[in-house]
Amino acid sequence: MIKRIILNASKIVWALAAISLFVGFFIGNQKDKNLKEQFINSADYKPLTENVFQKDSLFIGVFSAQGYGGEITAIVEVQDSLIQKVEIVKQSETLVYFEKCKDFILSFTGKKLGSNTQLVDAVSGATITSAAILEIIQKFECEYLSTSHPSKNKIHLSLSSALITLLICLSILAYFIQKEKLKKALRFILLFSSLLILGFWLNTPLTIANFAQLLTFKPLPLFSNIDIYLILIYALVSVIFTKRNSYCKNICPFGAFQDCAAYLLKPKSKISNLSQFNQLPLLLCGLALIPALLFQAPGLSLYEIYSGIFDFTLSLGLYAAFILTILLMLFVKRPWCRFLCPTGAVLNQILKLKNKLWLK
Amino acid sequence: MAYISISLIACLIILTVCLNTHNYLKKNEPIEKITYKEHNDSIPDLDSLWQQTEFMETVID
Repeated sequence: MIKRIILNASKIVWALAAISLFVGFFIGNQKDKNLKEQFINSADYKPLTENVFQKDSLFIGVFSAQGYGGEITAIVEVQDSLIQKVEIVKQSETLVYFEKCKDFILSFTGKKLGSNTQLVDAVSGATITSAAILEIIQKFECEYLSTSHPSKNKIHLSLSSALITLLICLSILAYFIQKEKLKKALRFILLFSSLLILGFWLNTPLTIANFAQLLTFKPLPLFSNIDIYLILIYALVSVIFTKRNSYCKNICPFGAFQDCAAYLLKPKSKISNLSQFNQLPLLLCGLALIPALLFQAPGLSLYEIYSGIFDFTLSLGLYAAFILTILLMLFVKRPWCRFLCPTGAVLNQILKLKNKLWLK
Repeated sequence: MAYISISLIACLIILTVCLNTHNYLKKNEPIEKITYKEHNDSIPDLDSLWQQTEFMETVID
C-alpha cells in the first residue's frame, strides 16, 4: 500500500519538477534584467559598458557569478577608483556559508580597483561562495579598467585533485579485480580514504545540488572547481559505461561512514517491511528539485545530511535527521543510501534507464 | 521503530526544503521592488552644519 502511494506520488512530483524546469527558465533570468533596467531607465545614470553605469564620479556595476547554491548578484559601487560598497542583492547560498563571507564582503570596502584582487584568499569553509564574490569584483575591474579576467581559463590543480584522481583510479581497479579478498581490502582502503579526504578534509561529496546546477544550466566554473567535476564525471561515467554505481559503493564519504557504523553496530541484515520505502529517495529528490528548478536556485534542493555533517554546518532539522539516521543504522545497513539519498536515487535511475535501453 | 524513523526523517527533509524555499523567497524579494540607495558616506554639507552651530550658540546665549 505505502509502496504504491510513494510510487504514484513520485510520478506526480517528477512531472511537476519537469514543469518547474521550463517555468523556471522563463522567470529566472528576468530578475537580473529588471535590476539593470533600473539603471538603464534612470535619467541620472549613464551606461558606460554593458554592466557598469556612471553618475558624475560614481560608478555602479551589476554583476553575477555562480555560487554553490546558485547565482549571486551584487551591486558594486566605486568612486575615485576606490570600492565604496559591495551589496549582495540576490543569493541562494546555505545560510551558514553566507554568514562566513560577510566580513569578506566588507573587506573590499576602501580597496583600490586593480590592487591585485586575484591574490585575495577565499574564505576557508565557504570557498565557492567567496570565490563567486571575488569573481564579481574581478568582473567589475575587467569591465571598468578594460583588462582581461585574471582567473579565467586557469586550471587550479592541487593536492586535492591529485588525491581524488587516485581514489577514482583505485575504484576503477576495484571494478576489474576478481579475487574477493583483494577486492575487499581495496574497498576498505577506498572507503577509509574517501571518508578522510572527501569527508573531513575537503567536504566535497556529490550532492543533488550538483545535478540541479547542470539541469538549470548554471554549472560551477569548471576551472576553479575541478575536484567536484572529477567526482561528478566519474559518478556519471560509472553508471553509464559499467553495470555498477561505483561512486556510491566505493567513493561516497557518507557511504563510508555508514559502512564503519555497520561494522561497529552489526545491524540485522533483513527487515522485510522496509522494502516499502525503496522508492522514497526518488520522491524526496523530486520534491527537493521543484523549488530549485522553479527559482533557478540549485542550493534549495540541498537536504543531504552529509553536505554539512563533516564541517558541522547542518540546520537543526537536519541534525535531528542525522540522529534518526544513526538510530536506523542499528536496524539496517546504509539506511541513508537505501531510503533517503537523492544523489544515489538519481545515479541508480540513470543506471536503470541505461540497462533498459541496453536490453532493447 | 525503523518504520517510524524513516517517516520522521522524510518529514524533516520536506520541512527543511520548505524552510529553505521560504528563507530564499524572504531574503530575495523580487528585484523589481528593490530601489537602489546610494552609499551615503559623503562629507556633510559644511555650510548647513555651520549655520546649525551658529543657531545653537544663539539659543545658548
